[in-house]
Amino acid sequence: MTTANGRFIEVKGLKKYFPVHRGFLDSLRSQSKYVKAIDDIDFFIKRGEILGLAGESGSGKTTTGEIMVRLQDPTAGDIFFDTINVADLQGRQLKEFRLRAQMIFQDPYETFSPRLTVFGSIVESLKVHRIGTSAEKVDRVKEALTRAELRPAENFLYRYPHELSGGQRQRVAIARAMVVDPQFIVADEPVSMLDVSIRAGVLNLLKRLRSDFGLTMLYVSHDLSTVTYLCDRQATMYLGKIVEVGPSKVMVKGAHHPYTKALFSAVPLPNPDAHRERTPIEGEITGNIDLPRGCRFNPRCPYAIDICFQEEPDLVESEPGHATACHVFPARAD
Amino acid sequence: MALLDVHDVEVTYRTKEGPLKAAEYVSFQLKKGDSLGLIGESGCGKSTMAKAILRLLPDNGQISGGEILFQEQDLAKLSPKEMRKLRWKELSLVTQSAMNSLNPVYTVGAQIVEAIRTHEAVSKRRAWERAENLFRLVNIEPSHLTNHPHELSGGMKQRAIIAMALCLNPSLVIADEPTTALDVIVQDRILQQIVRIQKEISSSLIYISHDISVIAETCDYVVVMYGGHVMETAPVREFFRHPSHPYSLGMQNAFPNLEDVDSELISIPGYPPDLLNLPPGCRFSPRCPFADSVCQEERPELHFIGTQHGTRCHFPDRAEAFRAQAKLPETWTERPAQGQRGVGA
Ligand SMILES: Nc1ncnc2c1ncn2[C@@H]1O[C@H](COP(=O)(O)OP(=O)(O)OP(=O)(O)O)[C@@H](O)[C@H]1O
Ligand SMILES: [Mg+2]
Repeated sequence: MTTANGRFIEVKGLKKYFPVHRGFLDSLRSQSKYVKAIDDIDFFIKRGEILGLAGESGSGKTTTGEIMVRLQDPTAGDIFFDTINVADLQGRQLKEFRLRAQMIFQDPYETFSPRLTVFGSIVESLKVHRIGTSAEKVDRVKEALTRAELRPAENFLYRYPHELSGGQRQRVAIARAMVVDPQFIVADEPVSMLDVSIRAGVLNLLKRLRSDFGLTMLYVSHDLSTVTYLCDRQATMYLGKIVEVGPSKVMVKGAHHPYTKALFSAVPLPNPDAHRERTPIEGEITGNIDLPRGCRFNPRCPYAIDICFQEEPDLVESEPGHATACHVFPARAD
Repeated sequence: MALLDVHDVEVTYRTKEGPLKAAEYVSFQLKKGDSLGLIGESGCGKSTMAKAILRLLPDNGQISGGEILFQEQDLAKLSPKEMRKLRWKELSLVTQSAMNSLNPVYTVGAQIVEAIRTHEAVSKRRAWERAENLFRLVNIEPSHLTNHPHELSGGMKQRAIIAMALCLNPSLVIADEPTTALDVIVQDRILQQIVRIQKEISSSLIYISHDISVIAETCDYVVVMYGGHVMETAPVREFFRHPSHPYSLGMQNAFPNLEDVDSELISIPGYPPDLLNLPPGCRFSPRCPFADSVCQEERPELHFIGTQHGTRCHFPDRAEAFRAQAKLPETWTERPAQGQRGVGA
């Protein structure tokens, strides 16, 4: 089932604050400060769609991804998953939800226990959820390996992580996510540690999983070239806020937010004659404890005008499906 | 006469499993003021070559063959003492981990002054002025010289390191993935600066990266390494217009390009070779869609198909046909026997 507007996953008012203790005096004054890792964001993903979440480190992308599969609890907000709000699920219901939403992590070297074989790692989630007889478990693991294009699966079942290359390990991670037949996968920088010749294969595998099994995905990455290649739509995050969201093919040609533009224009091109027009933004990403007044991007923004230092901009649609949180771009009538 | 002439260099590491040749028959030249990009995937021997040139190989590594002619002397034969005199003064290195090599106890300025005065007899004051100029060169406000390393952001620290690497006007700078740990925007800014400064002080540059687009935008020449061998070497435009080695063709196919977002990426089936268990002939042959029996048996020479364009392939004449076929995904679909000799198999 899907919500009326075709949205399979809908996130509303999502927040994640981490308290920071900055010393004795602060605690005496009981002034708790917070890192606003996610600061009130809304987005949706349609069924079978791949949404990209882009931004520099510290922008809140990984936290968002982990909350979506409930590896972390949100501080506030709703996560509608097929019309059920999963933001506050606990106990058995949470366990059931975990069957439907899986995560693939960045580092294929760290996600496996060195003592477990490929079979051992993958079968674990089947055991946790008490799925299948012993024979069925073997079949499901083999099928998952085949889906992750580790063929023939028998050759991989009893290998240890150190006997696999980085690309193969990442495929085992994909198999582990796929074995429970999820509907939704969060992939957090799944290819950033992989070599170029291997990376394209894993990206294409993710694409195929979507087209063959109708998986819905959230792809988290700082690399706009892979985000644009893989994702139907993408959202740019900056210090816990979504500052722009739109179709990838539209954004790559005409991003509106200066930060998205800067991210795109910072990607080198495999062409010695390319002349990149760089969007000149200043400094480096700041911490998100003491946010500036107004737009949180204003310290780095070359286009900031008075209002940018007063009011935080909302995400506003300029064309259907393309929204930007900026007072300056795209030029607005109001 | 080239500033640097690397000729048939071989580097061997002693390992528990036996000797590991991380580089073999590596040859390339670099003229004064030119920049050369060394590209290839993890483990292909890029850093090994950087360390060999600077004679900074770890204890279990040694240059086991060939010559590294720099300003007409063979670096491979210099004593450690002679080498120390050249390092920094003539040859300097910027690495990804260099950021952590700044001493946390001293200000950045003190460290640069110290570096200058170790190699040149100049007053503290002169050295400080030079440090200020260097900071301006890398776009850091000179007042930051009085900061301790932890007071600088990641990007600033990396720029301070670059300033330090340049402080003695070296003839050759080797940058080994100098921006990998940084965020994209900072990465790009530093890249721009490296190129600008290199032109300004007309030193030569070896830029090491696995990212072909970084090399496309930074360097005059390209050297592609694979499994310890140089597979292709060419001027940068020539390399992107007429890539000739099947591995280069595969790499270009696999690389996402924001200028061309509609093309499907094509991956190279299989995995890079295990250097302890190398295929006998061409090192790329287990993954090469064009490989023949000769490729499996004999090591190809680096054939020159232009004055500066070499390809280590048995079929240099078929490069044009390869280029056309390489664009088709079906050319690269996996064959059952492949990957068997790869790392993971
Ligand atoms: N100290 C060492 N002892 C033994 N083997 C080593 C040592 N250093 C490197 N190697 C091996 O030599 C080969 C080349 O390594 P090198 O670090 O030069 O690769 P690289 O191209 O720089 O890779 P990366 O892109 O991952 O930095 C690899 O197989 C590596 O495992
Ligand atoms: Mg290296």
